[in-house]
Amino acid sequence: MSKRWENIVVIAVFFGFLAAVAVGGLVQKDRAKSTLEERALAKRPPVRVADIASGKFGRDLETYLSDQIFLRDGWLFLHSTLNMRGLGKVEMNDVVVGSGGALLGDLSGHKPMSEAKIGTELDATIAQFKELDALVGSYGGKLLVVGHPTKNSFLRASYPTGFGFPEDYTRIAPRYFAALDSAGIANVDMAPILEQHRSEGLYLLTDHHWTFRGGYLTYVAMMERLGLKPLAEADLDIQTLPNQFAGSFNRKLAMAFPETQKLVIATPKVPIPYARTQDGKPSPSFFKNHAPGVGVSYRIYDQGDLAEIVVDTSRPSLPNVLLVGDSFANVIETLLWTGFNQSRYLDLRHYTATSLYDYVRMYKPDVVITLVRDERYLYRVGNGLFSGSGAETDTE
Amino acid sequence: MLFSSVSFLFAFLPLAVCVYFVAPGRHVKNLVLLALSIVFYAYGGLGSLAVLGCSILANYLCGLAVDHFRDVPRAARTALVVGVVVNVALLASFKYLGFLAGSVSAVSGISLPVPTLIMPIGVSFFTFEGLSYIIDVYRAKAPAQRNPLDVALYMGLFATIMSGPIVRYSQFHEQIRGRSDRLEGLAAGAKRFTVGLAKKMIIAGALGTLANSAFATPDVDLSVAAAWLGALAFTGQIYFDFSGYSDMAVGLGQMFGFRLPENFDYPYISQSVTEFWRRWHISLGTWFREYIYIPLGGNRVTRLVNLRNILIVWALTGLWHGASWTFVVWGVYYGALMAVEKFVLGDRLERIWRPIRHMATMLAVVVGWVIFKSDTLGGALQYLQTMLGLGGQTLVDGRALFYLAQYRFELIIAVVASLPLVPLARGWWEKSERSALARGLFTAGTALVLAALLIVSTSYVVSTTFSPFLYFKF
Repeated sequence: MSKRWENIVVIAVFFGFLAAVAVGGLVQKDRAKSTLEERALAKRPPVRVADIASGKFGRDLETYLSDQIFLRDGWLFLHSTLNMRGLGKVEMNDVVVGSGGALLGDLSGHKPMSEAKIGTELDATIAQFKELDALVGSYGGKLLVVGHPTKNSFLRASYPTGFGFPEDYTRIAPRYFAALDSAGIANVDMAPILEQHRSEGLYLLTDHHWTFRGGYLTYVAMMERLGLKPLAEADLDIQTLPNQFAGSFNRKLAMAFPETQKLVIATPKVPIPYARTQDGKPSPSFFKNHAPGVGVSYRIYDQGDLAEIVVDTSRPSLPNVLLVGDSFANVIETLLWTGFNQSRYLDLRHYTATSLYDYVRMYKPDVVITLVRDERYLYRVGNGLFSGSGAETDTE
Repeated sequence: MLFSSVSFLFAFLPLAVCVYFVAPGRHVKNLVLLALSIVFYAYGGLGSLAVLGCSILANYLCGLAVDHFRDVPRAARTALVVGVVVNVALLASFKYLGFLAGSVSAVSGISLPVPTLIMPIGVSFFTFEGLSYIIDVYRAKAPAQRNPLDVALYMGLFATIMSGPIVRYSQFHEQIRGRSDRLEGLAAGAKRFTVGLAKKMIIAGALGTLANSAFATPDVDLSVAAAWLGALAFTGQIYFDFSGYSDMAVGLGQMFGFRLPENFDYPYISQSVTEFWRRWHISLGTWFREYIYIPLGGNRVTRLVNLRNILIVWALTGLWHGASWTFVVWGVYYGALMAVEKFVLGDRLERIWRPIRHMATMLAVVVGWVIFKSDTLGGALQYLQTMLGLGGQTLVDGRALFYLAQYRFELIIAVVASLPLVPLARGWWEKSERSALARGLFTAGTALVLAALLIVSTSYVVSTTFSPFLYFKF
């Protein structure tokens, strides 16, 4: 082969590749959002002289071209797969590969709290619960605080060398429940209960949430602590969805790990008539679309993280309940309503109409439950802020 | 616009090559290149472009004045001085004003107001090229350009404006009209560009993550081993990042027919600090030698004056890298090391066993990079203390083992790629006649490696824009 042909081959490969990706990007239709990244993708920026002059146009164009590059998800998958499975990396994009293939959150950037800080924060947190307890008690209601370990905490022994679950978090949990006990606030610590069921796969392998089983056990513990009868598994029509599941941690790795797990949903065997609204609009289903062939994520449960959900069963003989919690509450929400007249579910990260105190004053639920995960025991933002009414930055 | 950005790779570059090779004649091709360079530079905003335009105009006029008054030495010299002052003032006002004001305030206790100026991208590079232009014209090493667009092409060429290499005008002027842009250059440039892209994205990116993690860790939480790994990773990162970018620049130059100077020559195989700086950022070292060191008298002076010259040049070299005392100290550190090699060790250096020389050089270089990487001198000293185990930290911890496990492949690749194995292999291959089949297989292999590097590098480029959320953010 002559030197000339060698050069032609090199030029063809190089510019052929660049041109193919460029033309592919031109030909394909722009995507509005990425399900892999769970975000809106950039749109073509308008050409404005002011933006060109300031450099904003260039920055926006760069974002647009990167977001809309031909086969974007494929490039991301290739990069993650090369690194995680090819080069055997154990951490990427704040996700750590634990033993047994469990994906965990990288908490190595966590700034540990001093003992003094823990004490101060705990006092403030308990003071808030006391105020809520007094408010609920003023009309004869009950407050229940349910704390549970996160996947990172529950599987902390699975972290590889160099990583771990922050020690101060593990110190906080016992003090948190002791303080609740001292304050006379009813509570459930799910850690020892879940521990008894460790072998039952309580957390999703590639997601940061628990499985249906983990949520169900928490629901049972809640109901029993309130002196109410939970639905037994025999009372439920439990269904394993065949749909392809996408775990939140795996998405952060561009789905480099094969998804072997399937999501489980349950409905009462004996139908209970109900009316359900989410953020004020009627929406009868407790589950997101899971038609055959549709990919599903943990957000399937109770249609994901919504500000306010109200389920009315028109059974006045039963108490009314208010459950406040983040996404871990979503599985529980699909079960809890079956035992109450009216169920209200609030996610204070998204609910901004009024404060929790005012909400309780308005509806006077017989039972108020707050579901808190251990990494948020001392947080007084989002679902930990009872007096505010603004959405905050705690997005997990 | 960065060479490793999606916009450059999949929009600007293919379009630029198409338009350039379709354009007829050298004059039109040069206009096309200039227009492309303006688009490339204006991508970051028009403010920087205006500064670049003023700099080009000033140097063009000074060059003309120097040339015009060539027979009137005092006038020519005045024109040169004006040009130098304009260039230095431009660089100082955009890059060093805050640093100067801060230093004066720190010493005098008087708080000086400093206007916030956005530093034009590549100002250090194009200013040095502007200086090179007027000085080379003054020295009659190259003619003054009558056409300002040619000066603009020299100073604003998109291949070199962001990160060099710093091309001296005497190296460049003949290429403005006399270069040949052929298939061979296009192919060689494509290969060189791909290698540079891979070095930057695949090796430097990973090592940078390791280095940033180690340097961001509080000293009390950093083990001795993790500190060393961080320092070594930065040593690799800065080489593969900068030399990768230089490879891309040189490759782009080749595509358009330019022979840009080499900037790196396997610096980590050096046997002395002096040799290291002959192999590291060669275009900058050459610039300082040509325009500062030799005019100061170079080494044809007394030992004391020579020592002064070395320290001046290296303090300026440090300052050129950034407006901070850490950079000045870093530069002086190298100046001092070179002075020791020259005046204290002298010929005895050559008699030391080569592996010892190499290890000592690398140790000096790694220490230098710790100073370079640290935000403050105090931070650098603390980090060096940790590396020496003087801070009471543990020798090895889980974090160090994690670093080693996580980046083992990149660290191995970095060590291997720091050695001149490719030129050796190329020399061996080209030494004897090969059969047509062997050449065909070699071409196929080259194409495959090129394609693989492009594909993998692209995945790394796109991954830098990966922004996944645990929860939706639509």
